[in-house]
Amino acid sequence: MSTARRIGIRALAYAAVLLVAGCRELDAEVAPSELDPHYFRCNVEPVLIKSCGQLACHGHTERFFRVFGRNRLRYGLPPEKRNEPLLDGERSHNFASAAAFVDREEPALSLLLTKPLDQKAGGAYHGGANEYGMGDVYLAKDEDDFAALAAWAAGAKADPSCLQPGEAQGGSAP
Amino acid sequence: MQLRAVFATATATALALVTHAACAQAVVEADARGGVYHDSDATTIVTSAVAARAWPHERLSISGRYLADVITTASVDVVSAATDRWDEVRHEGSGGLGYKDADRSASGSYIYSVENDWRSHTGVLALAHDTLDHRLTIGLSGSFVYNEVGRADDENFDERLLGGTGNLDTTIVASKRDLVSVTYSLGYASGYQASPYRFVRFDGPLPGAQIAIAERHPDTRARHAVGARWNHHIEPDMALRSMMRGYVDDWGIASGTVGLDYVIGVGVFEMAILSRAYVQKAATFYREVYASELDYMTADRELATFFDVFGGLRLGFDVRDAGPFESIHGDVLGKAFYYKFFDFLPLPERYGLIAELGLGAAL
Repeated sequence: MSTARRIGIRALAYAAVLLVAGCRELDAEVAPSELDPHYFRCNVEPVLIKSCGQLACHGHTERFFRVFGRNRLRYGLPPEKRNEPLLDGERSHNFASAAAFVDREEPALSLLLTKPLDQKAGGAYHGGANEYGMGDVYLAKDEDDFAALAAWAAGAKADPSCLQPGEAQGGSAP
Repeated sequence: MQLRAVFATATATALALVTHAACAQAVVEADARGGVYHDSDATTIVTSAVAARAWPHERLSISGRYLADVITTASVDVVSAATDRWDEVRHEGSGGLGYKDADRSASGSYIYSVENDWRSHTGVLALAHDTLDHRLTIGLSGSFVYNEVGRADDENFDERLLGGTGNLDTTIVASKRDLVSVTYSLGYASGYQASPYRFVRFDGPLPGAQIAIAERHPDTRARHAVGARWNHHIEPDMALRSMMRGYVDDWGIASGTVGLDYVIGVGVFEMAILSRAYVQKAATFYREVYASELDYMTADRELATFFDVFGGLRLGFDVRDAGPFESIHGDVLGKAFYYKFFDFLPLPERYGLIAELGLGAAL
């Protein structure tokens, strides 16, 4: 077999492999979230515990989006200790759970924002809104709590000193 | 609006041709088909379809079809999306025009499909040319589909998925008893390819308390498939039909299919024993359990590693010159299937039955 023919066959085989396998790496891990933990702790987590974390809603282990909170869902604590300050692991879970519902490329389209926002204001389907028949958690984007969620998703940062002395110990009961 | 205009024009043309067909006493064929699918994953689909084809001219044909699927499911997909059960109806209508002479054929069709959270428009064009005294046929076909993806009960969810396919096939009359065909297919899709209903879990900071994220699929997908068919006539009324197909895509899926049918004719009746097996390697980004968040994450079992086998029996008849009809034909089909998912925890296996009844006549 001539050299030219061998090279030709190899080139065809290489092209076939490229064509077949593609060059894309589709199973890379995402970079760590750049969302601010202090802003979350001071402005977002209290909102999530208050507005989402009821035991019948997202304070339930079967929900995809799950929030731990005092006097609500707890991780491994018996009922009589439900009012204990939140554990570090529970706070980490709340942060990771909320961050997973943030669209990094288009924060305004984050499920963290569109799920609790009424569809008339541009929100998404939310089982909770249908369940109770009273509209969604936020009827408009200018509500303060919604604005806090939106600001965090968009990259707002806070100084660690934003925590009140009592909150530094796990936050007050909702 | 442009698509509506095209559809209206096509419909008007079709009606004109049908009218002409009636005057020219052309051959008209009509078929009706019903089917039931039921599987162990609590899914039942009842399908009804009617189709008609007319030849206003010996070289021209016009066809139309309507199909309705009534789907009832409480599958693991539905339950994992926090919904107990849902029912929906899918409607599909299509129309086509065909041309065929001694050596060439061409056809074009349009398909419109709609259900509560999905609407699609598909256009298909196909050309074929016979050569070497009809011993060789080369075919070229392509399709384009435009999908509008919605979400039930969500007035603001509005995504798009565009796709196209191209096929090149060669059919050779290898001998008086053998017909062989080879096909290469290229497919490309771009747009929203995940499901708005599915969420994927990965390990979080607390053991046993996983984090959920909306399913994320790549926006593009390129597919390649090579298939071969071999029909071998053992006797004039007895044949073996075999096929094999290999498939890869740039999501990392590789699959293979083999099929073998044994067909025997007795007078106006025909019986076929059908079999097929399929094996698939999972997509690169598919995980049975995700340990961390990846760029792309899926809970779609169709992207998992699995195999399936189908087996069945089809009984058909075709009676010529039956009273006013040029022919009356029909068939009964029964199939059983089994899927084994190797890395999909919610559903390790699935099995079920498919039954179909078809009846048709040509004037």
